[in-house]
Amino acid sequence: MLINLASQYAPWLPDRLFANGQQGVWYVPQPVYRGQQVLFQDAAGTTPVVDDGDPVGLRLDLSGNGNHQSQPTSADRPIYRTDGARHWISFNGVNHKLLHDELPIPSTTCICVVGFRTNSLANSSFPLVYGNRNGAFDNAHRMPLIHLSQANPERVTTQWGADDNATDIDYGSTIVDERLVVSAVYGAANERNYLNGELQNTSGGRAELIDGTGFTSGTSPSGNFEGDEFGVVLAYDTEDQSRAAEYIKGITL
Amino acid sequence: MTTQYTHSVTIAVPADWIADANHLACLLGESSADIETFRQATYTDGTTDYAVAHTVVKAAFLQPTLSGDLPETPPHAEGLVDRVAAQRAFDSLNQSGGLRMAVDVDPHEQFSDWGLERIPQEQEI
Repeated sequence: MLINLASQYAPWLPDRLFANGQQGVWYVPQPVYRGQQVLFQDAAGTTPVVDDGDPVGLRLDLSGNGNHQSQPTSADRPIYRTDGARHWISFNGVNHKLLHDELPIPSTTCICVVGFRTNSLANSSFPLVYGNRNGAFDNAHRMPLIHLSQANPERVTTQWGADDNATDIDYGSTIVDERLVVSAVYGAANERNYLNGELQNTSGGRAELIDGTGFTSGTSPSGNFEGDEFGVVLAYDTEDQSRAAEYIKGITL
Repeated sequence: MTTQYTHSVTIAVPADWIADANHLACLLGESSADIETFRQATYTDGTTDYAVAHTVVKAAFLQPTLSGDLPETPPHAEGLVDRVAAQRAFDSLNQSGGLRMAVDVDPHEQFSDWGLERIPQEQEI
């Protein structure tokens, strides 16, 4: 009885999105989370990240699905940073990248929520914040894809499916140096974009998704992200991004 | 405690030097995967194309530039590294036509100082 009451009033965490075995990912940018070492300096997971400035070669997926991100090449490892209150992974916009394998196409619905801040859009045309865009050029490699635009510094673009399904979030002013939480929702009838939990736009339909290559944070053939990532939640079989957005906002804004 | 990664290096490798540079990277690096640190030239000075990298390093990484001697082959590089190739790359550091390296600088500013621009090969989203 007491245990049930305790769980009922426990803070909401993204693990509830995966409680019934749903596919997806949950990444946090801090070395230890709820007593578990989450970040490692090497891709093999033998040397823990401890200090501000340590490189990140492995980031464990907390969803229980084993979709860990890794980077075996020493020079390409992004950097763990903290100011004592927030934690983030810093990407240099040159060669930093974390990867995990392809996920299956969602059979129903899917949400993707990312907290980030870009330092600069000066050095890359389409910086990729997070997405299914690590392989050869193919319009279909989006599940989802969240990217920025050097030519449009007030914009964040999300895509599910092909190029013509891209939808833009207009921030109203430059996004450089702004901490943002973007939610891309693959709904039963359409796709929707949210900024800091607020609905921005709704597409006219539901895109067809096609398998692609692995997911990446940091760099892609389309552009290198220069900035900080505060957390990622991607969850299948839901189109309600509100709780995940509030969680990511709590560790980003 | 503070991180052991107290420095950063920005490196630009002329396309013709990529193979040798990878042997040097693996010798000085921390993973067998470092044998493929430099893959594709993504910057150019208008004449020569360069593969680039920017990374944090421990103080020991810079020791060879102070002593002039490359370290012993570490376990992760056994059977991978060609020390002759690594030595060629090391000897070319900051020589005309060779590898370029700068320490503790912003990479984008350094690329600009070197006269390097990103090769416009980014594919459309």
